[in-house]
Amino acid sequence: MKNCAKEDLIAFEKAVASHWEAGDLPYLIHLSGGNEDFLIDLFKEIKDGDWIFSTHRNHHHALLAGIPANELMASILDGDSMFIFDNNRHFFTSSILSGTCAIATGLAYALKEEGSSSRVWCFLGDGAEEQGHFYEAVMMVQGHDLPCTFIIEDNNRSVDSTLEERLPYQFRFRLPGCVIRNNYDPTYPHAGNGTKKHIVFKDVK
Amino acid sequence: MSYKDELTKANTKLAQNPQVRFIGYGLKKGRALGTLKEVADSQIIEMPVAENLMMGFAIGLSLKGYLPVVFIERMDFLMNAMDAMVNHLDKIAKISHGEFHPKVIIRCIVGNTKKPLYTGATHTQDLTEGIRQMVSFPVWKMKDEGDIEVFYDLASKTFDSVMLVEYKDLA
Repeated sequence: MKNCAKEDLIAFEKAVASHWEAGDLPYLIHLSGGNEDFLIDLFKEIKDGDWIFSTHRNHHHALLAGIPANELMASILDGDSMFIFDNNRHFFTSSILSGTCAIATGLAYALKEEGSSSRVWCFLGDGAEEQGHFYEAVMMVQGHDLPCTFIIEDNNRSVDSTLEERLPYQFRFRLPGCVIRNNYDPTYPHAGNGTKKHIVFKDVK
Repeated sequence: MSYKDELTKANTKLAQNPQVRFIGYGLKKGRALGTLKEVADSQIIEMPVAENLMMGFAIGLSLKGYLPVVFIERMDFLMNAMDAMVNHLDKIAKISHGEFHPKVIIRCIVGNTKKPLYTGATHTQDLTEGIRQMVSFPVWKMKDEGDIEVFYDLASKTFDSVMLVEYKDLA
């Protein structure tokens, strides 16, 4: 996987935020921020040939997967912030919460059947963690010992609600070994860049 | 040849493609109402009763070059798989600008209303027209024995996903 410095990741999202504030991006965007150190360490474990399933908040993942910043920015400016895909780099996204979990599971099954040494890395947030589809996939991965790791990027937000706001007793299932969690404080809100300014967006292309 | 025998013949032929995998629950014992009786165990993936998992799982297999056939034993139960089918299987090629183009064959059974018994309001719905409004891939009804060979053959050859609607009352 490509080396990408924390400063590069932060600067990239600031550049996207600038386009948003300038009204250049009449599309829904979800900015990454606050989890750079964890991701940089994690991507050292991700090998060429591995598969990455990302989310609506995928810019950091895409850069760390080796998608060039200029290509990624062009896609974002074309309205594809939530739809970053790269077959050569095995990079796949879905902006439907937990929508990738079952797909990642099937792909991991295929890798195992083929005797491949590659594995699947499937990202989700703590909002998606509350979807039943996630648990179905975890059951299958754990039940078949599939080469798939689910990474919960836990920013304590489901859209913009904290865990305590949505579940007052803050219940969580105890998750098995195929799931890892990173708690972090997000730099940006769920969507947009958090500016209070009134933005006049350009027309959609 | 009976409707059920035609289905058995068509699925046996489909399984001649070594990349085909049949996905569903109760398949190794029940053999999809007997229609997979000639299919090798190695081509059957037994799943938990979790239709969305089955559909998404099939997409994942397809991304690695397999041709998955998802068996939904009642069209009513397909409602559990709508996210994987409508938001993913049907949209991935579009939103990825062709980077990924999964193909899945969905066998969907409309439950029996009279033969040998009535299985109830949640096991007999024919939702074909509604499904056709939600997906861009073909949804073909197999209304008699003559449709089966034709539509299975098309399903195996087409570039896109396909849903094959079968009727238990006819089997």
